[in-house]
Formats: sequence, structure tokens, C-alpha cells
Amino acid sequence: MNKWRLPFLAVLCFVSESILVDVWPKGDVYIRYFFVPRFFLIFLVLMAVHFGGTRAMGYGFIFGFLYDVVYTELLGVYAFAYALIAYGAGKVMRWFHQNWLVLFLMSLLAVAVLDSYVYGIQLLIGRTDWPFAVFWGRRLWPTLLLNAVFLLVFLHPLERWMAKIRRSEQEE
Amino acid sequence: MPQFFGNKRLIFLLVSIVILVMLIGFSLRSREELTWPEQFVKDTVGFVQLLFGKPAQVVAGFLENVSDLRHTYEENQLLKARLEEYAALQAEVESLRQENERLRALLDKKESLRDFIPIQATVIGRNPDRWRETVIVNKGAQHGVKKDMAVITPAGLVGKVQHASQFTSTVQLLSALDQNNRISAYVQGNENVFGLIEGYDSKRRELILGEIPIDAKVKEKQKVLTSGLGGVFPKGLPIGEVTEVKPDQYGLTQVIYVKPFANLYDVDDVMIVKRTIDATLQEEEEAK
Repeated sequence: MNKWRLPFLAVLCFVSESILVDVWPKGDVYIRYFFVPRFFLIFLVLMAVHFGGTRAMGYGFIFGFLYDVVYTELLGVYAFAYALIAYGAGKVMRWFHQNWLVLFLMSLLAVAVLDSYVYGIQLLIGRTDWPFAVFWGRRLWPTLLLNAVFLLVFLHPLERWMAKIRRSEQEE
Repeated sequence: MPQFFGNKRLIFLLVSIVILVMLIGFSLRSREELTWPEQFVKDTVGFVQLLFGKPAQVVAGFLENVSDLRHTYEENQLLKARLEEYAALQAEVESLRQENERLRALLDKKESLRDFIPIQATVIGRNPDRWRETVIVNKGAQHGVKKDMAVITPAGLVGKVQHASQFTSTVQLLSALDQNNRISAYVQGNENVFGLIEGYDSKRRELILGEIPIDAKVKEKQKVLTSGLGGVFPKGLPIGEVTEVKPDQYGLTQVIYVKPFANLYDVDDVMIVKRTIDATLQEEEEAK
């Protein structure tokens, strides 16, 4: 039973991204600005902190690949980025004290890095012709805003949940 | 500062980048079909999405209904005014249909490009990163969906099937149309003017209908429909209304801006359109 809690949380974060975009009211704001939920990425950063980079890398790769296959049909892009970010988060976090603010800023940094990287790839293969200013104004800051709100609400419960799972795993 | 990447890991990273580039190259080829592992993964995730998505959609639908209630009175007034128009229109449509059938019988021409079988489908997911507006619907190849089929709502055309896996399929919305996915369309008038839907102007929120001959006379408010030429689209699916006509950048052809009838972003329930003429051809082939 305990074994399934972490994968379940991962699936929940993964699926909720698509569902949020689906039920988001499709008004002018939706068309003008791109609020991209990156809940799974936040989960991944937290996981790298709690369970170490190696295990998070595995999760990142698998779910990144799912993202590529199911949503973007551009194989490898997210699998690569998620795995790399999980590795980076695992490494970097050893240098800092873990506190709330550091985790918050780290997660937002990860979101910014991921989105800029995906923008770069889209630019490279010619699927977008947005200059950086447009990308910043219409996509990056709304995305950061949405994920910051998510973090404010869910960072604490997610952290507690993970700490609990880790403890029960150590006991076994 | 400790070393971020060891030597072995650096090589591993470089190899992964090479593989990444290869994979992107592989997926950029215009593919007729997805590979079976991809289809399998898509269907599985689609099922999970359905599991989680249904409750969320119910809640969202309820909230939407509540906000709709506020406008009910005004809408009701408007609809009542329209009702009389509708009765007259229906009588006319009925007589035209009968006439059409009679004339067809006279010509001994049974199928037309217009006839189609709709496949009802529900949106179960959306591409969250939205670099391409695609939605995932809950009908796939097993239900008769094929690549490039038209996807409509009652208001009009909203997209086309990008890929069909066995139980789900990916629909590319018109707002994400690219150069490789043109749609043949015509402007309805005394003389039909044919062209190709080439893209979407996200600033104006209008479709761009190109390749229109320079001497063609097109006015605003004329209707644009699918032509059924090439591909698997049936004829006569409504797309939108002409808002502006102007010469293209070289002055050789004209470009028409088309305001779509359907909301290209807010899609929940859609119909995937299967042309009858293709279905009967297929049956004949199978019978042989």
C-alpha cells in the first residue's frame, strides 16, 4: 500500500495539469495569456529534495516521456528536461538549508528554466516565431504566476505528505 | 564548489542530447500513423484522464451553469424573437431537401460529398503546454476515426484529427493550423470562389483563407464552407464568415480573413465527421 502512494501522487500531479487547462474558462484571458500548469515539475523538485536526485530522475524521465507521447507528440523534449532538472535539483539542494522559501524559489526557477527551454526548442524547429519579449509577456510570467499561486497553496501539504511517505519507507 | 558533472556523467549527458535530437527529428517527420507503443500509452493515459477528469468536468460544468443562469432572461427574449424566423426557415429547408432528393433520383446519383456520418466524441484532455492547441477525445480508430477527418461542433468546423490511436485520438484545433495542414474551402456566392485555409491570425482571432484568384469578387459577410475537394472532409461544413478581403503580399492572389462560427477554444463535445462516400467505398472494397 505504502509503495503506491508516491506514484499515485505523481499521476495526480501529471493528470491535473491537463484537467486544469481543460476546465479553465475559455475567455479572453485564456486566449491572450498562456497559463501553463507545471504541477508535476514542482512535485519532481520536491521529490528530488526528499528522496534524492536519482530516484526523481527516473520519475522525471518516465513521466516526461508520457508528456511527450500523449500531449506534444514531440518525443524526448520533456523526458530529457524533467530528468535533467531532477538531477540538478537533487545536486543543488545539498548546498542549501531546506526551508520554505528556498523550496519556493527553487521550484519557480525550475519552472522558468523548463519553459525557456521548451520555448527554445519550439523556436529551433520553427513552430513559433515569437520574439523573447512576447514569450516573456504572454507566456512566462503568467506561467510563473499560476505556479506561484499553486505553490503558496500546495507546497506545505505536498511537503508534509512527502515527509510522511519518506518516514514510512524508512520504517520498513 | 563541488563539481556539478563528473566525467562519466558528462559523456552520458552528451549522448542523451544526441538521442534527444534524433528523437525530435523522428517525431517531426510527417507521420501517417503513430507507432503502436505510442498508441498504447496514449490510450492508457486517456483512460486515467477520463477517471480523474469526469468529476472535475462535472464540478466545472455546474459552476458554468450557475453563471449562465444570470443571462437566462436576456437570452430567452432573443431566442423567442428568433423562433419565428426558425419556423419559416425550416419549412424552406424541408422543401429544398425534398427537391434535392427528387433531382438526385432523377440523375441516379445516390451519394454526394455532402453526406456524412457523425461520430460523437467528448474532450478528455488538453495539451497543457499549449504550444499547439490540441485536445484529446475519447473516440479512436476502433470507432472509425481516421487521420485528417474533420471535427465539428454544431456551430461549425473546429479542427481536424491529427492522429488516431485505438481508443482515443488527438484533434488539432483550427487555431493551431500550420502550413502543412491546409483545408480546402470555398466562399459561397453566385459564383463559388475556392481557396485554402492557410493559417490562423491569433491577433485578429480569424482564419486566413489564401490562394484566392485576384479577380474573384468576394464581399464581407459571405459564408465560407469546406469544399470537400482533396482529403476526407465532406462538402459544406460551415467554417465562418468573411470579414476582410485584401491582396496578398505579392499582389498575385487575394487573402480573405474569416471569422469562425465556432468557438475555437471552448470545445467540450464534438463530432468527428466520416464521409459517407468513403464508408461505402470501403465496404465495397471489403466485399471484394
